[in-house]
Amino acid sequence: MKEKKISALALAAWVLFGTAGASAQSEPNAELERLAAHVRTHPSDYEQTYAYIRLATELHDEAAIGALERLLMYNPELGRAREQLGFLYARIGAYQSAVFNLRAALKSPDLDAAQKARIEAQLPDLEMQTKASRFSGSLQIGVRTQSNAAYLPSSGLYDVGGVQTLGGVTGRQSDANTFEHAQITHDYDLQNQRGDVIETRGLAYATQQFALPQYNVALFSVSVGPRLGLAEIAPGLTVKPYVAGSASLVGNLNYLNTGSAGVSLRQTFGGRLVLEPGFEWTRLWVNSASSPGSNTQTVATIATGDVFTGSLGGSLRIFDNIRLEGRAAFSRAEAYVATQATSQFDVQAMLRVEVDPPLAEMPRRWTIAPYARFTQIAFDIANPVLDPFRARRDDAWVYGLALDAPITAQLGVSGHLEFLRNDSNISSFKMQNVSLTFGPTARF
Amino acid sequence: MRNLPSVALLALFCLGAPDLRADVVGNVGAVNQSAQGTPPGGAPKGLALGAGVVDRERIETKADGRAQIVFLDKSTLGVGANSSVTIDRFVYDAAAGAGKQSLSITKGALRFIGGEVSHGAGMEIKTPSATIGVRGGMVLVRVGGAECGDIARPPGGCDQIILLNGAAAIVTAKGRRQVLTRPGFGVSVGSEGGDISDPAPAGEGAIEGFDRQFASLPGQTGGVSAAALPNGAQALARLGNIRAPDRNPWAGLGAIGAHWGGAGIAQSRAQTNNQTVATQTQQTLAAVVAARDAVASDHGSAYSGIAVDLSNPVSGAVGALFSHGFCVWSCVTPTIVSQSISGAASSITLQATFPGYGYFLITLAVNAESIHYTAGQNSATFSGAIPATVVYYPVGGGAAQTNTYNLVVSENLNWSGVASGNGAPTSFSINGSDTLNFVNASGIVLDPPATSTSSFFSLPNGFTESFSFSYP
Repeated sequence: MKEKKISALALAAWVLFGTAGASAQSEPNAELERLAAHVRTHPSDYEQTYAYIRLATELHDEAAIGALERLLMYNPELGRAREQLGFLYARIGAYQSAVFNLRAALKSPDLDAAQKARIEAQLPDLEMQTKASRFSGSLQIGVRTQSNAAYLPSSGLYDVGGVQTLGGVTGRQSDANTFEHAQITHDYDLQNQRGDVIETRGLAYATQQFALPQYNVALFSVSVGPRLGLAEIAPGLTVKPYVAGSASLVGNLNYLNTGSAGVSLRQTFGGRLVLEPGFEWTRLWVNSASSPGSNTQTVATIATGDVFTGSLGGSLRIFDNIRLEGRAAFSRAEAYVATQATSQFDVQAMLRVEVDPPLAEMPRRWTIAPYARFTQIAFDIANPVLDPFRARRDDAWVYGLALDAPITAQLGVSGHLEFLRNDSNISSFKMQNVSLTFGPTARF
Repeated sequence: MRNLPSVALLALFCLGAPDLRADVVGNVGAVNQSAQGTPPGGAPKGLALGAGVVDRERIETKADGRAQIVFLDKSTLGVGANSSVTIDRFVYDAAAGAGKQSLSITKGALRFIGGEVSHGAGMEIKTPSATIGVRGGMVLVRVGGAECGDIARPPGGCDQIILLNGAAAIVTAKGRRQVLTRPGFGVSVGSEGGDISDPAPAGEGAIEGFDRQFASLPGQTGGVSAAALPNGAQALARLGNIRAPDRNPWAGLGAIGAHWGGAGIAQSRAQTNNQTVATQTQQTLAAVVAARDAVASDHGSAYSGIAVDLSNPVSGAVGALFSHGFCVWSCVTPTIVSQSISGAASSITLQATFPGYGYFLITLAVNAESIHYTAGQNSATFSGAIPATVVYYPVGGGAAQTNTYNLVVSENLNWSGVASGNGAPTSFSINGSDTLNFVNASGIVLDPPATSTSSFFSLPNGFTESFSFSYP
């Protein structure tokens, strides 16, 4: 009976979404067929040929490449067509062909300086794809302001041993800080058919608070692991075992160190959808010397112990310039201190909308990205320091809007405005924080 | 009867005509002369732009000839210079989007860009040395070239096969197999089909070499009249002045995630600190109050505020409180500035001076009514909030900065010690396991920043403090 219900549900879903999707797709496909038939017999009808190229590009149909090659046989100097062809080759992963055509486009007299700048902005990344050792990175420095940098409870109330009382520190302690954020990526392509790559990722992040130096943070992490192709099992499938480590400082003292090992799968479906399930084990070491010993250390959400995380990441390209990315994870934290053992659920989503910048001279697209995050932390047992009869549970909501605005090929500005609300059944942790982060960026 | 041969001829024509039309499998999309097509059983004819090509037609080019054939299924065949390619078979069911497509190349080069047929399993390309099954893809094929990769070059040279998209399964004439699955990778096959190289990146030179095979030579126009060539302005207008998506785009959630990670660490630490302030600071003060109350009351709640022996602050209650110092840039023992008592409420003001930095005035307000003490017992409970005001006077004469705390206490106090004549302890010790933290107040900007990590007050972990009192 249950199976029948599931089948009925699946059928209903297929009817609702499958057929709707099919009918929505059939219209442009029919138009593509019409255009294909027309330009096949009228190859010099350029208006229709360009319409054909535009639609085929939108539908990720490689017929666009054939049509562009044809136009270039008529006139090899068509810089815009050559540029389009180069980027289409890049999209299918034929990087040598992409680089060849983009370099040729740069020599075309058809293209003005702004158009060439757009090609020049992309070309180094594509040229890098043809090499075995690929190194890239980004750097941002900037300023962040926070309305509640000390994460004080909104009400000023604390739960202490089950008694709700005014806290030792009152008021919101707003603050600003400078920050530095560097991400470094190195891929070593093993140059085999599977596309195996040894991926190394590095992150350095640091903040310097203006008024609350005890909350200065420095965070360093690195991960390394091979990404192995599994096309024999399924086209577009890769697996990545990896190890990772991190160290962090708070108030200029070592606070948290981690070591991790994990494995993730990545499956690409037709270039539109990417799913990435993974599992990770992490050992956390909280350095108690970073703070005078106190039983209130057990109220920290980060605790020495083991954390096991199962996750599913994903990215869905809705249109050429709109992409939805997200990640859901469940973590089980087996802290060494029983009162710090938790189960954590985390969901993140971001809608990335790429738009043309306001000036033609700006070679890269800008990204406007609303995002949200929900995190639930449920502690296993009550902590007597807080409340001997209630186990803490926090529901944290984050809403934000990010902007990435490249100005030149390498330099730009980026920032995000974010609202955090943490609902907790313990007064001490009910809080809100509004932050604004902004600063110049560089990429290489 | 006379008409019988005519009828038969007509019938034959009527039956044959649809077949002939069905044999048209594509059209000439571009052509540079010299290029010709030879239909099956027919004579060679020069290719013309837009003209139909039929099944089993052979396309041949000379050194200055190139052609592109567009098939019914949207696939395209580029025929390079000095080449000979035959459409062995093309069957396409448009309704099903499937069919069969087979090409053979005996010399020169071809570029195949897949269509509906190759999206299934029905496409193959034959060379003198191998058969290539193309799946959903795009391949470059050259026959008898000099490039042989890591295999020995036979007298007839090598056939080179490069995959640009999809997959290509290659079986040589002698049964050797390789599968290309990665764009930009290629293999070389010895002309006899006896050897095949391992798949390897094709390299920039190979791609350029192929392009030269298909690109129009100077002055060639692919079959369109020179007066009607597509121009750059039209291409720009019709293809749009768009920007391509970045190959390495902004990290999105990854970029935000670094900030989340840092904030999560700070939040975990801050909430610990906040709770520390709320719970742990006042054990000692509460004990002081309890002790004083013991003098004044034999049971019940206190009726008098705490008093401090001004003549002996160091050994007194407040002095004991700061026995490990009031620590900011270093640790100093504060001096008592004043005290006042009103009913059960006491206010004690201390001064901690740091030469070269400035000084602090710390005012503690304690309400002894919060103490519940019974004479003869050696314990008491204390709960409530103790306001503490800290004012910082910078050495440079800058504006004084004030921050107010509510030091929350909910503790059981235990003591032992020498009893006075009325039974109250004149000295006692407090046993605790906690560190006394009075975390730096954010409302006060210290210049330079504090060097003590747990300023302002500090006691060691697992402390045992002995307090001695002098009573009036």
